[in-house]
Amino acid sequence: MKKIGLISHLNYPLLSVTVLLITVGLAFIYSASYQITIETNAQINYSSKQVVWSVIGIICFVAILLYGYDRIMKLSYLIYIANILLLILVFVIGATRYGSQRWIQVGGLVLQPSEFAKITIIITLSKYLSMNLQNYRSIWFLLKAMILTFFPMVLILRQPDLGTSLVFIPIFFTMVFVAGTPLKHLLLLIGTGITAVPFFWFFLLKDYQKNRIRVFWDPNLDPAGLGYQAIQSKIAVGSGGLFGKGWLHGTQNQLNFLPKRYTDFIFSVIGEEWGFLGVSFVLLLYFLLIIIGIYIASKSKDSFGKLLACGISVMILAHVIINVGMTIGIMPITGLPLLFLSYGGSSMLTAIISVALLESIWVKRKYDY
Amino acid sequence: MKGCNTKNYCTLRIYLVTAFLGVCFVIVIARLYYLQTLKQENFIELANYQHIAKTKIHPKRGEIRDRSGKALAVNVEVESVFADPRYVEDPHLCAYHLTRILGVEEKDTFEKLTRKKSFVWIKRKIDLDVAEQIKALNLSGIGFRKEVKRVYPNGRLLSHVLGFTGIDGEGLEGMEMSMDGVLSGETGWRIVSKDARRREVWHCMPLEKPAVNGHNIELTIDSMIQYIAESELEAAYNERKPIWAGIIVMRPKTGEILAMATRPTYDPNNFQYSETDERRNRVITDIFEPGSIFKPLSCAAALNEGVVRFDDVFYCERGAYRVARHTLHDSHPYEYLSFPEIIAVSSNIGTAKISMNLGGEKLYRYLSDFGLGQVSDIPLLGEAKGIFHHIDRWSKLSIVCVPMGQEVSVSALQMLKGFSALANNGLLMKPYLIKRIIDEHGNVVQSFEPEPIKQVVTPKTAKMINEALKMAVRKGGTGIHADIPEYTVAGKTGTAQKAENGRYSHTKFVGSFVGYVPADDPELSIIVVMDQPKGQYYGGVVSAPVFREVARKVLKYLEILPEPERIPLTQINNKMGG
Repeated sequence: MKKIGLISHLNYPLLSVTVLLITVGLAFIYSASYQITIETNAQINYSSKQVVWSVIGIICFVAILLYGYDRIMKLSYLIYIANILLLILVFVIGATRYGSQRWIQVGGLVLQPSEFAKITIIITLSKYLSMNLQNYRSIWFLLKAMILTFFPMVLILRQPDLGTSLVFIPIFFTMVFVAGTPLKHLLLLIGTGITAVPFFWFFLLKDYQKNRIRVFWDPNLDPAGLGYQAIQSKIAVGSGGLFGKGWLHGTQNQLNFLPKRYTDFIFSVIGEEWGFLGVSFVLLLYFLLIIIGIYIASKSKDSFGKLLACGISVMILAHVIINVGMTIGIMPITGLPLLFLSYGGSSMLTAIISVALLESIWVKRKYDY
Repeated sequence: MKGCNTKNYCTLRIYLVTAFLGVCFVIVIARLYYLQTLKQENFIELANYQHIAKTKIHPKRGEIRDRSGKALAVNVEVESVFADPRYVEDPHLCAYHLTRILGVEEKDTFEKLTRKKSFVWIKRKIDLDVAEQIKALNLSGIGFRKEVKRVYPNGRLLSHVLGFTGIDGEGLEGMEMSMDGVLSGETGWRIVSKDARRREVWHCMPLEKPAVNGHNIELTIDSMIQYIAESELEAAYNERKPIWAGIIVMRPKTGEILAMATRPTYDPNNFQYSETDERRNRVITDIFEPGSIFKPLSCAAALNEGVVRFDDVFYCERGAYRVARHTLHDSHPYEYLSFPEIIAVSSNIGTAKISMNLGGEKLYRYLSDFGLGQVSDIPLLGEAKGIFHHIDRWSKLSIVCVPMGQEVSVSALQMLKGFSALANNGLLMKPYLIKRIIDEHGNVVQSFEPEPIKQVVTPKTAKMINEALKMAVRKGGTGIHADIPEYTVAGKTGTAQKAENGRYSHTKFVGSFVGYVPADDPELSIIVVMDQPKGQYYGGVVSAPVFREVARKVLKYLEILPEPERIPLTQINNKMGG
């Protein structure tokens, strides 16, 4: 009986949008890795690997839904510490790829703890903020939240993974904003942040990260190197036009001009092969997903759920803006996947867990189990 | 923000977040619209620039063949070795192996293998079996490309006419150069897609202009005759050691050139090891004063004008004749010589007297008609016009010098061309080297026919000169060494002093012989020239035997029936002095 009730109370628009996005993602991972699959006689087939990850995601989805977000709240500090430990573990036994140490290999599975850290910090902040709502006028309310965010963020920045750590900033600000922090505190923090920019520039950012930002302003500084990705991505998207070149027929994609095309630059492939209409459709799906997330936040029965849903929505929004922005030249190139679409197990799990938490908040609103 | 409490808190702030979300999406959509709609053309152009490439399709170069279709210049598939230094693992070892197999310079190769480049030729156009040896070593960073090499299967045979091509197949000398347009064909192109690693991937568009292969050229040259001419010339060249020696064999009735050879020579397969001098086709590019071989032309003119008759007798002044403050000499002193005898013994004084009867104006016109001072327009570059001064520039002495082949310079081809008119009943033919041009499927594109230029003298005159020329190669004539037992030969020797510092040398000569055979129905006309032979220098000694050997062998090869009887002309001998 319990399960039937659960199923009938699910938010189906959210579920449909999620399924559609994952399907589009699989289709374009297939297209983006089409040549690789042919060249390796199907020894490497990223789209079928992604199907496996989606199935694992569905298992997680069911588990979280049955367990319930409120029970997860009780474990939030435990999750937080576990995640911090995993991030430290990355430095000890992590695998290095493309010059960064981000991955832990467990058997055949490669996990990226920084991906999960985003969900973890949302849960932790939601718990902390909702437990201390009565102190919202205190500056410590803000500062303690900041310290909580600071640890995982710095660990991720040191991997180095600028893209993922950047996502923490909108999550943090949105959550403390929605939690009711006085505007003057927020402005003070933003002011301090801006004055700290030179400090970041000179002490924290690595040379390659600085170069990325320089090249972002002018990709032609290094058209064969760092600027290559930015230029190629714009060429792919721009040449797609209104209707696109057709699935599997994007020249820049199939001819190997587009870098990292089944992971970070999957959106460029869609832009080239489906054109403006295609990307508008995909962006509409994301917009619906985030709007539904915010709607769930506004309908949540408790402040933990509200903050959690808000955080998740902003996280998805940040991913879309940063990733899509970098493919069309309005954001610097940072190694950030596009949730639901990019190939990658950890990001897929993060995306599905996010949706599972939203569904859980939605269902628990009317139907507790 | 006072509305923020646990119950209904921060709805306003959530709305603000939603508004922010909306703004973000609007920016992204606007940017996408800008890129994909407004700037689409630019990006399509950029994309095409990256992945669309026009590659050349190289046509097959036409072959050069002899008159019976035997290959003289062909294409052979070979391999060229290149290196991508980025993938060369051990340049020392690699250079060692390449040096061992290819015979290239080890230092150079090592330097090439360590260049900061992605492509460098190691050696081009090597044989397939040599390439196999390298392939077997499986050296990383070493690649092969199929290429076509021009090969001249007969080596040095006909090298001056054929010429050769450069490393990229462009004609550099000889027929290869002058007929490059016909041989090379038209380069085609194809639009291809290339991936980021510059590999050709697939033809996204059916855009292609196929290459048009070059036409094959069939020469008038007969390789067998060419071989005979070259071997005889070679032997004489080695024996007499002249600066250069040349021979041309022609069919006087048609003007077809059957053989053309020059010594020194070179191998067009390895032209890079030869000197420029060895590559010059001297029988058309180099000019010389013809000397006595010129006399029949002058005498024919006088005979044709009727100023002398065949049986006229001239007093030859006992070998010394004073004219225009100069003294003419004959090699032997003669008293009375008939017209044919003057030619047969090559009397300078006799020729001078005949020409003075004719006069400069008419002599000039006839010699022009024989083609002096004009190119023959054969399809080879560098043909010399020779020196033939206009009548206005003639001196008082010219009327005696020109007729005996001084004050004029000719190329061997020019001389043979004029002389062959005498063999062809006085009709001057245009010499030609190309029989026909055929396309790759064997269809005839262009065919060349004998081309008469002018009836210079009447057949009757030619007949009479023929009799005189026959006498020249009989006992008592200067050209006795050109005589062949089985056939009647008509010919003339020449031993011209070379001009040196404005006067005639007494030690440097051009010894030549020009003639045709069989005299009464000529199949061949041949000129043999030796510039400054060492030791003996008389044309009758150095060049006439070459004529004889070539003529005899070629006539046999052509299966021309020997003449059953030869008319003895003993009475001439009695009249000769000294």
